[in-house]
Amino acid sequence: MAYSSMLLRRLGWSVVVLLGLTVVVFVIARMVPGDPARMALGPTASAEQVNQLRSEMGLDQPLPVQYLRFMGGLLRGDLGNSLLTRRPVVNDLRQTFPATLELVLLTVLLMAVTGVPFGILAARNKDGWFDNFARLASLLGVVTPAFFLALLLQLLVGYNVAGIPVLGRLSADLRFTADQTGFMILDGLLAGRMDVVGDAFRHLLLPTIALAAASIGQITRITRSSVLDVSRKDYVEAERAFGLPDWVVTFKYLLRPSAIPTVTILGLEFASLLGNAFLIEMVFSLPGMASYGVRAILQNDFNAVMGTVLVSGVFFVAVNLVVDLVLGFIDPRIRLRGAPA
Amino acid sequence: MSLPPTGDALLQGDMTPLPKGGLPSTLKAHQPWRRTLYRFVRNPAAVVGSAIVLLVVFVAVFAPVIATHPGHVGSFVNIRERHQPPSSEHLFGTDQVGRDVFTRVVYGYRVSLLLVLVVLGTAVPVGVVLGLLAGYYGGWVETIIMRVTDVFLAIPVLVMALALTAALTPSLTSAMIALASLWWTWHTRLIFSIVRSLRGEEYVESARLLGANTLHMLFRELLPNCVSAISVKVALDAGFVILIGAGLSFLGLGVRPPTPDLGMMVSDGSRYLPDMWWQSVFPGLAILVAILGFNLLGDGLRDLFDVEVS
Amino acid sequence: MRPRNVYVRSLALALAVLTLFSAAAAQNVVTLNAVQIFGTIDPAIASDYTDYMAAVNLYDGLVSVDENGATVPLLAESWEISDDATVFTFNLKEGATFQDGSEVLASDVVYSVERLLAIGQGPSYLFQGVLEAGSVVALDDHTVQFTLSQVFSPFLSTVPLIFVVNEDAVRANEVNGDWGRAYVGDNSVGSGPYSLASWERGSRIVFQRYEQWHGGWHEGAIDEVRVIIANDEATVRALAASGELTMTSQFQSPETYDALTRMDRFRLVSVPTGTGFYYKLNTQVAPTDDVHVRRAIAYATDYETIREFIFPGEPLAGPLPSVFADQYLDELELPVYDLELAAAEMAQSRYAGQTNIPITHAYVADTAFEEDIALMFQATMETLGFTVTLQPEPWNRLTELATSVDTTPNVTQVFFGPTYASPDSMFYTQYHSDAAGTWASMEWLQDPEIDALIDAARSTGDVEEQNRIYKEIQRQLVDDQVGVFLLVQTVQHAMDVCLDGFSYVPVQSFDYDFSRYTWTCRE
Repeated sequence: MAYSSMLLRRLGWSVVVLLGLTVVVFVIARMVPGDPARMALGPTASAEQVNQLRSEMGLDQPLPVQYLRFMGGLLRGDLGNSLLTRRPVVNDLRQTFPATLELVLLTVLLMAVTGVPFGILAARNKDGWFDNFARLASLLGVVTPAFFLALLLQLLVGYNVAGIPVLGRLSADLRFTADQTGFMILDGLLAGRMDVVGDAFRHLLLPTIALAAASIGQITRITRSSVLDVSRKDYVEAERAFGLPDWVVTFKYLLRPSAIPTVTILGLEFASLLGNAFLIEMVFSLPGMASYGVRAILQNDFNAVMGTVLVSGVFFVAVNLVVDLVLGFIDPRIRLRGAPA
Repeated sequence: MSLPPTGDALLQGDMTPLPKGGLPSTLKAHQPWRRTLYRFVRNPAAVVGSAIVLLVVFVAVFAPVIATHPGHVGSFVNIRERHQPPSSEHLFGTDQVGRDVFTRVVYGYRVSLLLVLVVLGTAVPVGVVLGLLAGYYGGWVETIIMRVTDVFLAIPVLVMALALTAALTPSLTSAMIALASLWWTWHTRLIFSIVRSLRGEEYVESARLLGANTLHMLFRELLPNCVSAISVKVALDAGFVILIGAGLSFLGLGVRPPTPDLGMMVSDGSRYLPDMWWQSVFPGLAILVAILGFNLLGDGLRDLFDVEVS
Repeated sequence: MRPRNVYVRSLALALAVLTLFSAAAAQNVVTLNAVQIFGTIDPAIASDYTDYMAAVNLYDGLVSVDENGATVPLLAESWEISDDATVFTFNLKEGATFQDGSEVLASDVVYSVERLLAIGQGPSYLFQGVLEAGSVVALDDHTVQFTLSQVFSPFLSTVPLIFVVNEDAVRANEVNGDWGRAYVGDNSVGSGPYSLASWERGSRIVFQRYEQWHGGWHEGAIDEVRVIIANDEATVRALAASGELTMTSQFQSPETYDALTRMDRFRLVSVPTGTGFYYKLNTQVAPTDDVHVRRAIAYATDYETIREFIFPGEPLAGPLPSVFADQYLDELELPVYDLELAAAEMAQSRYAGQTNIPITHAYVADTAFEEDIALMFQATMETLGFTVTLQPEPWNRLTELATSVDTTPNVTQVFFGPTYASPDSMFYTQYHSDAAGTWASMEWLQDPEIDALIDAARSTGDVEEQNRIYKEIQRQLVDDQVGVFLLVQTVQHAMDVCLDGFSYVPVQSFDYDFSRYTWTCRE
């Protein structure tokens, strides 16, 4: 009961935040140098053509009016045309976003599957060799810039191990486009092309590791410390004294309370992955939304810039919302109080 | 927000954990610094971290003395000496126009530290003040400040910084402005949550009843209790600023050539992998070392002060 | 502990399984990289080298150009020119088909010209004042007649840039009188040797051989062409190493060519061209509006180091490369690198004795060799008292900066090659006032004398007279030092040893017409 009211409130605030986001994005886009009409038409267009396009695009109107036009277009699903690809930004994003999402999801999977168990094991092995190794590895993961790790992986692994490709999403000779869901692996499975699935996995191997490293480090550390904290609690001591088997103590009583910081950090890392994805996609030449966004920013393609930043923002807000709701579910205190601690 | 002491701090031999929120300000003034220093020196992370940070700062400050080829920092080219591997004359080799990589790495630290100083130097005071105000007054002041904070935090930092830096035409200054205008948000949020949890404390109430004015409340009662959290966050943030700054210049949105910048050097050098690996690897390691230092320092301080900074 | 071993073993197993699931295809496939994206595949809008690469493969013109610059038949098998050089009649070959199977008729040619002129972009600027709506008529199904509004001596060399589109297909997909722009921007409606197989904008484009191409196919013809957009050296190197790349672009760094030729699969193909690499100097904005400053820059450039270490090429003495043998002014001297002479020129300029003279130098961002040259420029010019601001910009931003004289940088590094096989292409597009405002004319010359000379050469049919005029133009341009002539590009590609057929054609991107290429190895 308090949960659903909390849900509504969080949803409401998310909408407000998103509205504020559109204002910020709009302002930034207007600051980008260059005349969009001129750039859309190319160098051989005449001055009259440029002026005509400017008034069609509404660029001679006052800023608040332009903002309303922008919002109107947004609600219709129209983000304008990209200057580079000369077609609607929405189409470009629909093509590129799944590629980024595929990378991010795989990374989250890797993070959860390695980070959490590592953290638990390190906690139970406290001060032993595994613990020290895990803490060192986590530290290195956190302090190494993602793009540097990506380059090192390319250098040390990609160039030396034949089966692991250094760049791209799929080998060129496999002649396959992910046009159903946009996810290469999923579409490959749906089409029954196992060669595509395998090839796509191998292309995502290094990027996923590079992207996940910092987060795995963080998750390991947080999981480890929260498990240690909880296991020091009196009731856990009591359970052990009563003779409950170790694994029961671990899974039934330790995990849920220590899950809270872990889920929090997983959520935070998930959302921040999008930022690092920009660097990883550039290094590995993956045709995702992040490299599309970087290219748009570098080439002053302001419609594409707005679209990319908006999608990133929406994604971020959505993930945070989900994380908060999951936390509310796990932690009764949050549910009852109606807000995170 | 609860602030439990971390298990490690307890086990490190200090049997009297500090109470929640730190000591009351009036008592704190009389506590000897010696105890803090004693615990600091026993904390390996803090020691190693500060040693590395001091080394980095030392290198940056004394760059003209440490660098082997100080003339290679400005507009200098020596095409015939390009792509030389590391040798006794060029410790880290030369880059694609013949400049000494070691020298440029050493000077590159200057840019990184300058970025940290400017960004945190502006963002932290602004963020702290806003957080104090929001936490102390509550009501619509809190709502406005915190909602604006939420909007800015709604976008990943790198994305926002990218868009802003590009919009302001790329240069070191615009990168600084972009980062500073985003960074205050975290400090606001942190201070806000600390202040809110302190609002109910007795000594705060008593100070107010005794007639203390707002400024006194903010700066003499509330702020000192945030100092430890702020210092931990600043130390960790310094590493993070360097990381994001390097990311920005890696993508081409940092300083203009020929100013040496570590991220840009990694990016330039990546064209010549794997053969001329030294052009990317050494600047990259330099970035890593700096971030490592600040991170360790921050971790050590966190254990020391027993605070939790989300 | 147990869990760790399980991890390692299952990871290894997964990797092994995945490696099994990969296959390879076998056809004559050429994969090359391009350093900029394809802006459009519509031949009426093409403006840079990638656009023209698409146009020449997907579409045909009435005629084409061979490696000597001579006009050769393509869709037209023969043509007649009237005595006064204002009426051109082309006879189309029978049985040439578009890629949808319908026949190429004279009416398609007429429609294509009308469309080009109406849209007003791409190569249409070449025909301003020469062709208007109604200038082109179909005399019958296979005969087309062009009536020029005035004598234009390079006309025949510009005809290859009129690409023929399928009138029926375009009309059927027209939206709101847009001449089919939306449709043609996404689909190929031509009769060219290749059709559009797929296009992921921003990353790759694939062309598929059109079996029934009227030009006929030889043994070893290329079945599929894939162009991957990659301008950073590491990507190119990695693609080559993984076996995906057959041919590099012409804009890679010397280190990349070295690395690739060390792999047995590649050889370096070096061919001299007619493309010049210049510093374009803005003659209207200080300090480059002072001729002494321009000459100082020319003396302060280390041409040999650039050609030897940074970007290969032949020496260039003026705006016209010597490949145009008949029009080339032989007595032009090669530029020299002499810092003392540079200082002497500065002493004669209005900035004598000054320091911190601001000057801007622009180049295409992320191009390794251009950045190296820019850094050299900065280092040298600062010894002469200048404060150099380097401006790395993306290409489309440079083209935008070029549209106004105040935003055009003082110095810009630009490659310029003939867009049609005539010296007029080198002079009109770069130095005539009517051509102002593009990336090719950043000098903002605005010189009525030069304009008159160029116009005179265009309107006379007498070849001797034309050659004389062109030589005079060169003399004046070099005297005025409108640019710094760095080199004539020796185009280099690292090419698979099995690939043959590249030769330089003096029309932009016509050397990337893949119907001319052959795969010489047998699998």
